[in-house]
Amino acid sequence: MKIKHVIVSILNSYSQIFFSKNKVFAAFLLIVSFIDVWLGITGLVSVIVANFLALSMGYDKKIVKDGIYGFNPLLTGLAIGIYFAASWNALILVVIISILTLFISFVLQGIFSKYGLPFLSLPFLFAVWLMSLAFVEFANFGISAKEIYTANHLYSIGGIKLVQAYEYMNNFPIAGSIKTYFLSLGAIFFQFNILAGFIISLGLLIYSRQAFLMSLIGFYAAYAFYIFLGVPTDSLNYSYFGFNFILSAIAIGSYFIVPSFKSLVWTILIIPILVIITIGSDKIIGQFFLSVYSLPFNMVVLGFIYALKVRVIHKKGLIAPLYHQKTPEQTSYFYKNAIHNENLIYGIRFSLPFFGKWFVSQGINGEYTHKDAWQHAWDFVITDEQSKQYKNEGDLLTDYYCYDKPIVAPADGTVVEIIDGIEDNIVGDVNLRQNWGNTIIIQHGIGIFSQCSHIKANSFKVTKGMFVKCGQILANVGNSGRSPYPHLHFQFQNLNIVGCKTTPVSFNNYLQFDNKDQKFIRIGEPLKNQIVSNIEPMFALKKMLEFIPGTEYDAEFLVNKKSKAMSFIADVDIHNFSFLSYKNDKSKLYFSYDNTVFNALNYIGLKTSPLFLMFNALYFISFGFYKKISFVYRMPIHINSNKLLLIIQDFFVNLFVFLKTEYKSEFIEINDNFNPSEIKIRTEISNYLFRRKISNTVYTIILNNSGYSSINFKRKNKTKELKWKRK
Amino acid sequence: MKKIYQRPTITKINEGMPSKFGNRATLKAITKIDGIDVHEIINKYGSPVFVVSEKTIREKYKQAYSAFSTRYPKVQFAWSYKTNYNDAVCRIFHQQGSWAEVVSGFEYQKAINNSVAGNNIIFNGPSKSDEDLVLAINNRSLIHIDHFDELYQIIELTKTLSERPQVAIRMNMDTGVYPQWDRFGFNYDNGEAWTAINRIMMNEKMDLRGLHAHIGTYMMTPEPYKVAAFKIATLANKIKQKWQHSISYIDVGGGFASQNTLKGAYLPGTDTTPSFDQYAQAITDAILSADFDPQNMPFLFLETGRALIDDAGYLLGSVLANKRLADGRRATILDVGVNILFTSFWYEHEVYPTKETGFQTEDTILYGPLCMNIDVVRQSIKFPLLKKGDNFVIKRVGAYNMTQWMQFITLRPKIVLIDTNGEMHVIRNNETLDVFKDSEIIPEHLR
Repeated sequence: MKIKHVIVSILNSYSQIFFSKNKVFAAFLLIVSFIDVWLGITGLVSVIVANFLALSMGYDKKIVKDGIYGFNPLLTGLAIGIYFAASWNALILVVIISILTLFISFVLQGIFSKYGLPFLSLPFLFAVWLMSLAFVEFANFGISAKEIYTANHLYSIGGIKLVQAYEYMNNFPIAGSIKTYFLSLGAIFFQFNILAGFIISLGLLIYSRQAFLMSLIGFYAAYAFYIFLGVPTDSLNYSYFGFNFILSAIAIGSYFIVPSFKSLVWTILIIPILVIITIGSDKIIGQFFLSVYSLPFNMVVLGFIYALKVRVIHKKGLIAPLYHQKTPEQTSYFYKNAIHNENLIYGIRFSLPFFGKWFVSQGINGEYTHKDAWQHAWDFVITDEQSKQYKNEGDLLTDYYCYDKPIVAPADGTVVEIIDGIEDNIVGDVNLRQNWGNTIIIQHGIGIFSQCSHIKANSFKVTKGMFVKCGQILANVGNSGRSPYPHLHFQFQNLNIVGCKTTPVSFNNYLQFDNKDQKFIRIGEPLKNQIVSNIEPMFALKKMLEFIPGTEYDAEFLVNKKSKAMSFIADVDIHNFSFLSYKNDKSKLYFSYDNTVFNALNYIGLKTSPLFLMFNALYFISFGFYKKISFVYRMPIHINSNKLLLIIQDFFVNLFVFLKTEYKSEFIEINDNFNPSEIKIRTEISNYLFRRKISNTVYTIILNNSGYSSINFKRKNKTKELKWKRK
Repeated sequence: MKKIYQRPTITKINEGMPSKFGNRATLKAITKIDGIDVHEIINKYGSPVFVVSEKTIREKYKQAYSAFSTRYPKVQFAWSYKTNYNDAVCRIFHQQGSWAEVVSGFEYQKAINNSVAGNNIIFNGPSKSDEDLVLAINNRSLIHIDHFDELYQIIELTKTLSERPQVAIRMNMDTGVYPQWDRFGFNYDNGEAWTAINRIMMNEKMDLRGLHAHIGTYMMTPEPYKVAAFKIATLANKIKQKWQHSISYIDVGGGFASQNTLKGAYLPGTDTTPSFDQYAQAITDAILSADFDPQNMPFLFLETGRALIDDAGYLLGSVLANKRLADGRRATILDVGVNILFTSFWYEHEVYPTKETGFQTEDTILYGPLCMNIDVVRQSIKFPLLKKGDNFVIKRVGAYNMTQWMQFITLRPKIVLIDTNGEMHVIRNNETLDVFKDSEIIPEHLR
């Protein structure tokens, strides 16, 4: 167990209360807890005990490090500090209650994780309630009176000056509501004073503009609703209610939902509900002479995220992020970007289910059959120059260009259903009794299936239960079922039932043909009358960007011609994410590598690192070598934008995004058609402010299959070059 | 409506029932090609004249490409120069994405002149000189080796060249067709091809890129292609096993039939020739079912010539005379003969009038203009009663005629291209006496 590991886990336990892992913010919070030294001590002891125990008992190191097991004991520790006067006895109690809270955390984690939910501060709630009910019997403990006689207490530790300072601050000429806001923030750390609240809000602002904004919005929405209901707002002042609104707003408005305009609306909408729950639950809990503490926050947040999870269609509305970036606004940029680039919800890239160029004869919400529940479907056919689907007179099935052509799997998956044996209709006839005809359903992930219908009887090349790879031939196009002429019906759905309701999913990385132009589409839903085809990957190019886990790379990094030898390795983490890592500066470049593209997903580390250069240059490389096509991709704006502009942008993340970063790659040269040993690519990153280009950077990449590959970057008189080669 | 005049004729009355094909044999006139009046072309460019339709070329290409590319993900066509190496025609194919397939140094130069990248040229054929090979090697063209002597020749050349030859071997094999083509390439079945492959693989100075088999010409059934593709795929996997070397492409050559009718065929070509789809189905079936790494499937190369260009070519001409032969049959003499319609040696070419004709047809022999007994365009055709000066159109003459034609007795005519906008362009001028004056040399003593 490294000392650093322990320190990080302690700091994270503090910031985790605000769903953050920011160390600076954590330091602010630690200081806040020590405004009352005794509270500081009880909190810290509680955290240390809990984290030490969790680590030594063999719980997941990463979870401990993230402070997930630490923040509830921290809160109970602080609560004990409030209840009991400083004494060794009380400290022993802190240790015991800390262990209790930790174990409640384990139990609740076991229950909640099955539903994909966090346990929030429920362990604290249960522990502190149990203790509150039990402590009446503790004859040996003195109850702390400092909360009631604050001035006396302050006088005893700091003399008259401290009391004056305290008075000065509490009477500081600021609006009553702001005072209440600060008091409510301070209350989270059981520090019932403005200074604590001020420091916390400052820390929050430094950590994240979005979280800071949400704390204000949550508080003021509640404040307004109190006035609207006619409930006296001073009740916020002397109760522990206020922070419920702040924490809930931060949780819903910035953490559990990707910040967007919709998340903002929902955050504001949920506060009145929270107000009612708070006041109502207080009446119930009050019967037991207990405070509600964070019960309303827990109820509303858990309820809301669970409600989001059980939706059928995830694409519309609010997105629950699978991965969090450093700050909520970065998560928002990341996801906003991802929406532009891929199928976010299912995390799968889908390619078109055929070889070659096909024509969309009926698109989504089409005029014939793709309506209502079945609107998210496509009919694909092949056409000739005259846009005709058949040769000769079109009286025979074999006249149709698409008839008997292979249908391929749009992504990896398992065949879950095959219907076979329905004869093809003659042209013009439909078989309404067996509407879907011969059909195959493939499961690609949890709740995501694709269905191909009207297949030719006895043409299946796969069987039910088989695992199929993307691009594998499944069967051939036919004319069975409700199909007057041969075509491929394709749809995505959430169930494995033939002909069930469709669900909106897009295709990734395909080519669209308009007249003589071909255009790269990074994500899209082909429209009626469009001609589309998959990108055909080049094996050699794919091989050049294959970073096999465990492989070490010799590299040379030249900044302004000053060379530095280095090496990085390719690895894969327990979540199956591939990454490159450079030990010396601890940078990591996460990437995805599939059949058709190399995509740098995320970068963690310093911007001076060679891996950052690599991240920017190789952000998106298609394995299909097409000389005349620009592969344009969006990049999250927080990576390359001007820092000052970004801070301003942070405040507006819910409303509008005025920054944009665009990545473009173009193939320049190849030294052989089949098995090139060298491929030259030019990539460019452009930053936009209100759609005006404000800066751009060009990278020249030379990939080599045996020697050194290189990335060259030049701006003004600054040059950077990275060369690497497998060891 | 004005009645059509036609010359008088005497038709023998056949008693009894008409045959199952009926008894009417009126030919529908071809009055326009791509919207342009046939007479206008003849008036402008003379008779006879070859007409090439750019629209048809592009359509055919797309049809063929689509048939293959919707069945197999990696398809590359290479335009067979010998079929028609008119520069304009070649460039249309290259614009469509075709590479070049050449069989001589001359054709190779033509491809280079048509701005085909060196590594997009397939160099086939049994005759390649040292100079041709050096050029092809330095250009990284794909050299398809035909025989051991050529292999040794290349090995010899690698000793002095720095560039590695990119080679493939051409094979012949038993695919169930008779006669079996065994004059080109190495034999598959007796192991000769395998020996050649091993020699190439053992040589450290060249790269084996592909396997090529061209099983025949005018193949009337797709099945042999399936056999060939399967055999090639098997061999490719054998190479992978022994040498850990993946073949980049499989070239199944060409030989797809066009819709012309072969002499002696019982049914017309339009009814019997397989479609691109049938060929594609057979070939891709075999390759897809072979044991290739799905991530690294070889390219499928096609060198089809005839099936892509035949329909795009028309030959326009005029009737020179009518006469009655000794046996009573009618003979019509055309200004088009075997000199420019070389394919009439093996096809029953379809000849159409350019104006509406009456119902009457007569069993006619069509002779060419040459003073030579072999000059017969059609031995027997139910032909309408054309008179001297009338025009006709011969369909499907795009393949081989414009390369195999000969200057014999008369000079060769113009070739006109009708582009996709309906504009006409002369893409080859007619020969004149000057062509001969320029190349013939008269010794001093005969002047």
